[in-house]
This record gives sequence, structure tokens and C-alpha cells, in this order.
Amino acid sequence: MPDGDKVHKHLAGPYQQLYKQVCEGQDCPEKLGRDAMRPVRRSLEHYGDGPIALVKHVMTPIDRLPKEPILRRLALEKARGTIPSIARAAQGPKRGIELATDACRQVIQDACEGRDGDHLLKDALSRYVIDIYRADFEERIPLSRAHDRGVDQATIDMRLDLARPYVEQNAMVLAVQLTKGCDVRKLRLPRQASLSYRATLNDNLL
Amino acid sequence: MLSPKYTFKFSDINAITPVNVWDHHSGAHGFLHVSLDDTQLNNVFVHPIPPHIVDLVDLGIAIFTADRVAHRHNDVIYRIEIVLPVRCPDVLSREEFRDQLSDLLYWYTGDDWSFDFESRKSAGREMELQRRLLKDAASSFPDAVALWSGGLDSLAGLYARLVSSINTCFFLFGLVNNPLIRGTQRQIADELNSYFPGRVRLSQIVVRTSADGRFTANRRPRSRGVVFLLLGAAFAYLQGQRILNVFENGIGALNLPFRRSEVGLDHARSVHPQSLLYASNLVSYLINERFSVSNPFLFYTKGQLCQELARSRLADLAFRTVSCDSRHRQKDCPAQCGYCSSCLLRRQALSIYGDDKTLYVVPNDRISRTGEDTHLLAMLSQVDRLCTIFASVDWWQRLVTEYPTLVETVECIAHCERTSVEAVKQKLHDLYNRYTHEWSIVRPIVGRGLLDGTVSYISENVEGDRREETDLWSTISFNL
Repeated sequence: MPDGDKVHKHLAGPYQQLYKQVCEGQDCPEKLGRDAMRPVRRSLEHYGDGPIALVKHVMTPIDRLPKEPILRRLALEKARGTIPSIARAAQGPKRGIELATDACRQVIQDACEGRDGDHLLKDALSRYVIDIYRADFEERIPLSRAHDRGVDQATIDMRLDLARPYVEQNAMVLAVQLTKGCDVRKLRLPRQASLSYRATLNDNLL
Repeated sequence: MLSPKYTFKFSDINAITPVNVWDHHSGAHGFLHVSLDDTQLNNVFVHPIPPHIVDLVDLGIAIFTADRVAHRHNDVIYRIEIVLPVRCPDVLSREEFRDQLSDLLYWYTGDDWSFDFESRKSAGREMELQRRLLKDAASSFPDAVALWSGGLDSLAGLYARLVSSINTCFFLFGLVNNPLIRGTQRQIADELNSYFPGRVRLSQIVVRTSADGRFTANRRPRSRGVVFLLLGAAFAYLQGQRILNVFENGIGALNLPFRRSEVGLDHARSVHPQSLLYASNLVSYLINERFSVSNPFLFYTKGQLCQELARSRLADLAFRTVSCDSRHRQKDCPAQCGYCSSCLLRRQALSIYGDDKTLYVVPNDRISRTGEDTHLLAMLSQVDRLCTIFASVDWWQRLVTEYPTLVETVECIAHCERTSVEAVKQKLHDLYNRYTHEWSIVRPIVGRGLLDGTVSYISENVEGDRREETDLWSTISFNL
């Protein structure tokens, strides 16, 4: 039953600048996607190594297996079963641990349904980074009829939709570094985009 | 890095129980007192009262107390250690029981709980001793036992059951920690009993905690659900039952996050299907036979659950139940806020059947203030998302991408209900489809006063709109 459910009302400090950028609409989606990684990296630092270790602990054994379907299916089921106990032993903020376990669950579910890539660990870490972006920014932006500068919710949603592919691309850049064992405090951000862009009526937004 | 830790050392749990508390992180040490009134459990069917069942009650009270006092900071996992005198320390100290208990509490609270069970020194409480004196006091025994919270779901569920099973006698169990709820539970149960003579009986346990000021209360205790289940299970056992009924609609029981920003225990798991399974397993282990906690309304929306009640002569009882998470305590002001997620789900369900006569702070007392629309906007955003998901062919794939824990939930339900995973998926599909459909009907009603801030508009226009909307609703039929 709903019982004192927590609904987040405000964006955390590191995401305020990004929110302003989205409201202003001056930056191209590519730049927004890149700039989003700055506060996401801070969230990653805040959540620490615990969630990363958790993802590695769950996913690495599956990646080491030969690509034999039945064996893989069993390994995926086993890995899903181990998530709660591994999560319980993980260090760090509960929120980070929950996001990491959700990322593992999603990638395992995709793999069970045959939508997996070659490298599940990388996919899960990328999913973890994307989930941080969504949980701490995209879906934490207060729902409102009027945002900064009088921008409406539909415009905000459209700008976020346009930026999302670049967020996913850049999340993968961070995930690759994390896969290679890079310290969560020493992650390098993706290369800077230099375009300045304002969407016009003639742009194809689809 | 070691997690912050609290230790609670209980004396023998009696009517007044002193507890020593250490907050190892801040170095604070203090005392608190737990007052307990369980005299209403005197009249039970099982006698003598098995000591391990009273231990289960004590365990629930200890968890309840510790969770309310252990104030968590910084979103990290806390270690909560409880030293508790019990009657059967050898039984409760078994590794398997402690592991199950610890797992259950981790699921509910996200913290690491550990227990050190000592031998109790004093004689049993009044309920244990009186039982032996009043051996034949239990004049009747129930056909079913149910939790009784004083909320809308427990009333609507019980009413539906009383109507559908005409010879069934229900014993209700209420856990109380404030006078308002105590009175509400009692009054509503008494009225039901006068309408269904001899078929409803309520027993309440009253627990209160008073700390010495060094410890601030945890404002979001997540263990409330499990404590209610454990104490309710003990009560059911003492009434000779091996099933504890919990009446809760499926939307509230599953309690999916509204938006992705709500993570993990931001949403409570009070009567989540996995919670019920874990609690059933723990009690089964303790009593060494099968015990189950069952929610027969898991696949009902709150609107469906209220259908029988709303169309009965007792419909007005619904408006006296209490659902609110953040009750207001000002004089001459409604107690229920009207804008927390519990109030909103209640308003959504009651609005389907016409005028919701419950008095809420918003919209009955005043218009909403900044931020008070947050829960409604989040709920509506979830409804919109669910609509999009269920409109797609690959709805299950999209649903579990959005809510990854649903895979385990569905497996758990299939296991408990001895049905297939596919059947459960279909039932969930129907449940959420109906829920979104209900919102499409009542959205303007629930939204008024919160989304447009115009309370006066409600009294002038809502009746006409509602008539029109409920006409729409009458085209849908439910089978309870």
C-alpha cells in the first residue's frame, strides 16, 4: 500500500545548470547529451564504487561463459537470483545500489529475450549510467506547466527526447572506462561538442 | 567502511518496557519506554498460548520500536542490532529463522538487522496468564482472520467478503499507535458488526513509544507493514487459523514507482506480494506448519474493491476510514490531506461512484499550496506512461524495462497462486488497463483544487460533471 511514499520534488544542485540549459534551448541536443555527463559523473562519484562492483560481480561470470544458448540461459537465471544477496553486501548509498541492481535486471531480462549484445558487463554499466541520468535528472525535473523562462512541459520533454541518443552514446563512453577498471573519481568526460544550436520550426524533430 | 549502527537492548516486554538505545555513529546513548496493551488478545481460541507465538508478538514490537527510533541519515545501509528477551531463545536463535528474519527486514527497510535472543526472566504477560484462568472464555472461533487498519481497503475488502460469504465470521486484528486510529478502527468494526450481527469482532494491540529527546523519530518507518503482518499472523494462529487475510487493492500492493526518480524503498513494500510470501515463510518456519498471508484482491483496482461497499447502505462508512500518510493535526481542520499518494488513490476510487464525502484539507479546507500537486502530477505521469506501454504490442517487454523488479514479482505471484507466469502477466495487464481507464474518467475530478487551484469551481461544477462521468462508468461492470 502507498505508505509515506517519497516523491522527489526538486533537482539536486549539480543538475540545476543542465536544467537551465534545457529550458533555454540554446544548445544542440549533442551538446546537452555531452554536458549531461558532467553532473552524472558527480552522481557516479557520490554513489561510489559499490554499485560498480555489484554490476561487475553479477555480470562478469555470464560474459565469461561460451555463447551456448542453454548454458547462457541458465547462467542468466542464476545471475538474476544472486542479485539480492550481492546487493545486500554492496557498499554505498542505497539509491546507487538500487539503480545498479535495476540495471543488472534490465540487461539480464533483455538477454533472456535474446536482445543482448556481446558484452553484458559493458551494457549493464552503460544502463547504470543512463539510469542515473533518468533517475537523478530527466525524471526528477519537477512536472509543471511552466518551467524556467516560461517553457512548457511538452517543450522540455521534446528537448530531452532529442538529447537522449547522445546521452546514451556518452553513457557508453563512461561505461567502457568503468569496464576497464577506471576509478569512478577519475572518469574522463566525452569529447566536447562545439556547436551552438537553436531548434527552429523547419527542423525535423522526428 | 563500517555502516552506522544502532543497538536496542530490550528488557522483558511487559505493559511498560524500558529499552536501552545506543547510536554508535553519533555516540549517543539513551532510554525509551514502550507501552503495550495486548489485553484484547486474552480471548483466544488456542490455549494455552504457545510461548513462541507470544515471542512473535514481542519480536514485532521490538522491530516496530527500533524502526521508529533509528533515524537514518545519508541513504546508507544501517546495522540495527536488537537484544530481546524471549521465551524460546533456542527456537528463535536458529540460523535459518534468523536468516529469514534478516532477509525479510532487509527487503522492507534496506537495512541490516541482527538479533540476539536472550532468555526472558519475568513471568508471562497478563494475556498469557489470564488465558489459563479463563480457559473457556473463547465462546466462538472465527472462520477467517483479517488485518484491520481502519483504512478504506480493509473496510471495502471485508464488506465484499461479508456479502459474498454469508456464513463467515471474521475476527479482525488492529495494530494501533495513536488514539485517532484506535477509535476509527473500533467504531467502523462495531457498525459492521451491528449490520452483520455476530460476524465481525475486533481485537487491538496498542503500542506506544516514548523516547527521551536524544533520539528523533524516523519519519518514514518502512517496517510498519511487516510488524502488522507478524502480529496479525500471531493473532490468526491464536484463533486457530493458518491463513491471515490482507485486503489491499493491487495497485497499492504492487506500489510501482510513479517516475524513475523514485528508486527502491522510496515506495513502501508493506503488502507487496513478495512481502506476503516472505512473511508467510517466516511464520511457517516458526510454527513448523504451513501458514499463509493472503491478499484476495491483488488483481483488483481500488475502485473495483470499493464497488460492493459504494453501492450498499453502508457506503457512508467509507468516508470515515483513514487513508492519509501525513495527517494534519490542526483544530477545526480535516485530518486527511487530500494530496498524498494514499489520499489521491482513495479519492480516485471513491470518485468513481459519485460524491466523495470525505473531508480533506485540499480541496475542502483550502486550495493547494506550492508543491502539494507533486504526488498527483507524478501519479498522472505514471498513468500516461502505462497507457503508452499497454497500447504497444510488446507491452510486457516495455513494462519490465520500465519496472525491472516486475519479473521477480510475477514469478512470486505465480508461485503463490500456483498458476503460470503468463496467466499472471495477463492479470497484471488487465489490472493496470482498468486502472488507467478509471483515471481517464475521474482525472478532472481528482485534479480540481490541486491542478488549477480553484476550489470554488468544484462546488459549482463538479456535480454535473460527475454525473456525466459516473454515467460513463456505469457502462463498465465488475465481477467481484
